[in-house]
Amino acid sequence: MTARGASSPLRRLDGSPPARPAPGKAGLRPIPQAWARFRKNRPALAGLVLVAALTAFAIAGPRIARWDPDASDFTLLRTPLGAPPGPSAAHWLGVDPLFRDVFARLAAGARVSLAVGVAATAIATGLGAAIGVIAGMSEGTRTGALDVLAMRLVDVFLALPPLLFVTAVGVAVGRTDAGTVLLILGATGWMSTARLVRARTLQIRALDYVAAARALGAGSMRIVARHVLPNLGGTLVVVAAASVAQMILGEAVLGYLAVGIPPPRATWGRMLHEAEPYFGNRVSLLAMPGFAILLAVLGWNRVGDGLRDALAGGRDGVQRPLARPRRLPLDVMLAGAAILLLALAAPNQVAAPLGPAPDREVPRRGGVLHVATFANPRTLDPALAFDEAANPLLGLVFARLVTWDGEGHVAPDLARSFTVSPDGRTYTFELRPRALFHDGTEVRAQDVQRSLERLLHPRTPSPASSMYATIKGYAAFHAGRADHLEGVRVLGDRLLAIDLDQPDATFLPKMTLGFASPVCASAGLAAEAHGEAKPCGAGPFRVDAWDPDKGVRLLRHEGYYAPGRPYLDGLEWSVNVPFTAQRYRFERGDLDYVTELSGADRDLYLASAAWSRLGRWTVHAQTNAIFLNTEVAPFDRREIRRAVAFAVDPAAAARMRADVIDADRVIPPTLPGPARTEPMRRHDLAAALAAMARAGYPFDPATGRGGWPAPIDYLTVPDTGDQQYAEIWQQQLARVGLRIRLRLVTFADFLAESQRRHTAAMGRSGWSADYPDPSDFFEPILSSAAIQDEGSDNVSFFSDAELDAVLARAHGEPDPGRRAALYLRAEEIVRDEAPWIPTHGTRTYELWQPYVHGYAPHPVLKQPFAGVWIDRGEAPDLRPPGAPR
Amino acid sequence: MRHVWARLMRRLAWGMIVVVGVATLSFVVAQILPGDPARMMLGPHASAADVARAREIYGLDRPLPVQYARYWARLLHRAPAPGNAPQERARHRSCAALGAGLHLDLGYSLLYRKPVLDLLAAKIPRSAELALGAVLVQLTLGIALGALASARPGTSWDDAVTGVSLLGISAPTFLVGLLLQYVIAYKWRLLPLDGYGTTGAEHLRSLVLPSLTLGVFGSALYARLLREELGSILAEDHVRTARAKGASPARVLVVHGLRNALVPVATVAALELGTLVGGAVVTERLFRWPGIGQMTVEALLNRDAPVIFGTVLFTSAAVVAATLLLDVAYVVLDPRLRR
Repeated sequence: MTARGASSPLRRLDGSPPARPAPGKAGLRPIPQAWARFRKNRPALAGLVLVAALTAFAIAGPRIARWDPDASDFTLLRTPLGAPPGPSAAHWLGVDPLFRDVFARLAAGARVSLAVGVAATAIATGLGAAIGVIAGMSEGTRTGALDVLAMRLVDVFLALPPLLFVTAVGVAVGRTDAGTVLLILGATGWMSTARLVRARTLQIRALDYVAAARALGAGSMRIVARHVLPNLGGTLVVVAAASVAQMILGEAVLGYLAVGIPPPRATWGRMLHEAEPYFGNRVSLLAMPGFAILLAVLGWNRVGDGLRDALAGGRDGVQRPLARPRRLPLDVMLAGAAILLLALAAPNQVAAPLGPAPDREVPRRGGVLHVATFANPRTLDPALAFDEAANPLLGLVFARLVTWDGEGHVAPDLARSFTVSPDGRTYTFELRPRALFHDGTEVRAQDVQRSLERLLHPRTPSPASSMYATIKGYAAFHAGRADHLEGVRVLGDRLLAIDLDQPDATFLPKMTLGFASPVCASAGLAAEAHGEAKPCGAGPFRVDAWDPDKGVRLLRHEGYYAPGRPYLDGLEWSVNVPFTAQRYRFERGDLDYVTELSGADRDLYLASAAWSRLGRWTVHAQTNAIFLNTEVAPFDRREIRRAVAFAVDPAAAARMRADVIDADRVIPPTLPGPARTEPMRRHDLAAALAAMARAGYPFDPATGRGGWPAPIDYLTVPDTGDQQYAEIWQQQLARVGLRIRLRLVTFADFLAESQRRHTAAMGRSGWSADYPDPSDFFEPILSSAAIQDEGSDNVSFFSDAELDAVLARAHGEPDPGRRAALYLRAEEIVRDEAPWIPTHGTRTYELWQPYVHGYAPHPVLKQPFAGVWIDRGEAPDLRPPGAPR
Repeated sequence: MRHVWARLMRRLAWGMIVVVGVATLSFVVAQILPGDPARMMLGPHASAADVARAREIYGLDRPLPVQYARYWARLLHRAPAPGNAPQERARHRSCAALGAGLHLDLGYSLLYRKPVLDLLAAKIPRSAELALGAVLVQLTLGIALGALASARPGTSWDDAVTGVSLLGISAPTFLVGLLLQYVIAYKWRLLPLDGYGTTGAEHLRSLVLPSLTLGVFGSALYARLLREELGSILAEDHVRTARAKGASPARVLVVHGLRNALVPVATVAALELGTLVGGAVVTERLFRWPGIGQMTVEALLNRDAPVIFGTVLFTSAAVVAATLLLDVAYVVLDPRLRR
């Protein structure tokens, strides 16, 4: 606070004697005098009242609240607009995305956030001030080395990537808590303060009267106490006030880097971040924690200013008038107004579709389809790419020998026909006569052979080589002992045979994968470990341009084997587009198709009558699960594993999120497999309690006594989805006496820890189909063969002789009926032994503009746009002029 | 003069030590963290055998000291004689010729399979533009607001500036960005939603919102710092003397006040520059700005050691340069420190 009350301060300062004495003439005031002065400072007192009120809220709030801040109210339903329910008599401020009471969480969060904000600020600012003063005082003196050391330390801490430091601390301490958070925030927040204080100390040291004091024999300590510190007060208060907010927010960011205070503990920062997806339809979820943080900052800032004025008799206005009767607290009002504006923002309705949909079902040629994804494909080399982002693009650029038809059966693609020998060991493919690569050359059997050898080449770092290990001669070729792959035989320009070592029912499905796509000769004999050949295949579109920061432009491949296809001139495929921006673009017509709307935006479209008939849900061939490590306590006990299986109720998750579907078995519903007449696993609390009792750890829900005595770590990643599910399972498992602690780690750590033997007791797991065959859902993750000491794909370390035998028989079984029966048995074994508890599947909502025709979600293939055309009918183009097209 | 040079040389030597030390530390820490780079390259579905093969192909199975030594050996090496076999040329695809027959080589990114130098060359200019834009926002807004508050202390202007800056200090970046994008780009259609455009004009227009988003916190902080600083400086003797000599209020504020008050602002601005260049992750993501912040995070999360080493080499050099400049700026801004 500077001098107040005069109409023009400059004039007043001109006319009156200096309101402030020269810097540093007095030291710190004694406490009683300071308090007397503070008491007269109304803004400061108001700040103190604010801080006291927040503290009181932190102490008493959780008692007033009628709900447990960490308990979801599973009786609620989402609003018609898809948001968590708003304020009601039961929940005063509404509930958060997990249906937990916002008021209770605000109060509980006050404890953590206020403590973290203030303590971390004290650590960082105190450390910075101490180092800065020491450095500043020693500069150029005998102890000058201290200054050099301190400043280089600043450089090192500034130069070190914070994420690296943070991850290293997280790994070093193992479990993170409030202490770790303070340590990290304090250790990463002191540098600017240190430099600032050092610069200031140098200035003060150079002042005449300080030099005079030194000449009079004042020691360094005395100079620091009487001259330096009092003059630093104002700067420190400003820095500290800014820091309080940053620390409260920083705590939540640490949570996302897997080193925060573990959920479900509420903090204001976490509440803010968890509400981010609801920016579109329930802004108040963001506004409430935001307002709380702002109040804390306002309060502390005013108290800080007051303290500085009260304590320092320094250069800053000793005789300055303090009382400001009848002045409006403009800062508070302004801040409040901004937050109010945010809180009252109406749900953001979606605009009507652009133009009517013409009803002509005659394909039209021409037009460009605009698509966007948030993910960015790392590579478009079919031998290397595995990621979800690349998958649909590879489908458009690279045709395979065989593909899937709309009913989920293997169908011809580049191969006009294919036959299997009676012993199931030889597959013969006859290629289409007029299929061309994008470079204009014809697709011949030799090219298929070359492409397969490229995939399995010893120098190709492919993630999928071993999938094709049943091809005869694989071992010798992959080890570099043979020049060619023995099992792949060219019988003519358009005739090819592939021999297998043993019958393999999954071979044809594997030939539908991008890995097995024929590629142009320019791709080379091996996929490059470094660099990338230009993607060149025989698919309906060719890659015209690829900018990793923008996206991919595809153009129609005129030499595509199907005459007249594809209809589109091309596709403009943008990458890195965040979900909210996808909605903005879709609404403007800059995107013609979306499937990555944020949950809130998607629900707005679902609620809109004009739009809902245009979109469609697509269920993923994917199962999410909880893995239970059968070699680690307590899950080496079968009954406790079964208790988990009975206790978990995915229906609760489905209630909160529209994109969740229950899973009662390993094989997802979209895959062929055993009939689904009976639910494989059901939620049964009584059975879970009985299983706990059988295991010797009975639990009494009424008293909360009993159960497994120690907390169990659940390993997962700090991702909005996985973390939410984990918090739901945590609540459900607590009801049967299993106290789960969430252990959030980054994905790399997650893989390393979960795949290491005797390490993680339980955690998230999941599998998505590489190809739609039940074998892909058992063998890679639940067979004994998949167990390794490090990098084990079988994260349950589940070994069951019967399951192994059943899977081996099913793998080669050609008869669909018998095969289904074998997989039914496999499902039963997994259900009864419960090493891997399937919890839920997911689905996404696909939505396209009315002028997009011929698109139908496919049971297996992702976003097959080859049959799509654009017909705007007679409707005028409603997009604003200049919109990119 | 010789004294000054000696000091500068000493600082540069220290800077080199810091850069090499920090880069080494990052390299080593990234390698000993749990998590397998080969697994991260091949994804969770790859079989253990395939992961082992990739580890071998990329030399990740070698002991850490060997990998580190190979890294340094490649970093600066002699260029091959011209007219060599294509195979030999291919080995130097990831190099940049420094002249004098020397090559600089940061190796290949494991994740993107591209020369790290190419990645950095594409991203650093973008990051620098964004950081520059943000600094411009911070200094303009921060100095304007700070000066406004100090010129009219105790008035409603002052209070309003305090309110606005506390709001700016407490607002999380993601929320600021979302709001700006929603109101200015989506509702009013004044500026592009995201991206960086193709022409120069588009490029500038695209830069506005991310710069504002990134600059809000700094603006607020600088306004507060400046007001605090100006408040005390304007009460000092030399300012009174200037007023007595008839200097106009504006001249007093700018010449006598601002110049001296800029020391703390310059300090924080210089130190935060590194954060702005390398740490603008949220802003880069929201506005699809292709800077190095996101790349660094991806590299760290995926244990992409060559990219980590490369970006840290660059950012630590930038930090060292910024602190060096800062020490020069002190002397320019505050003659009392000239000794």
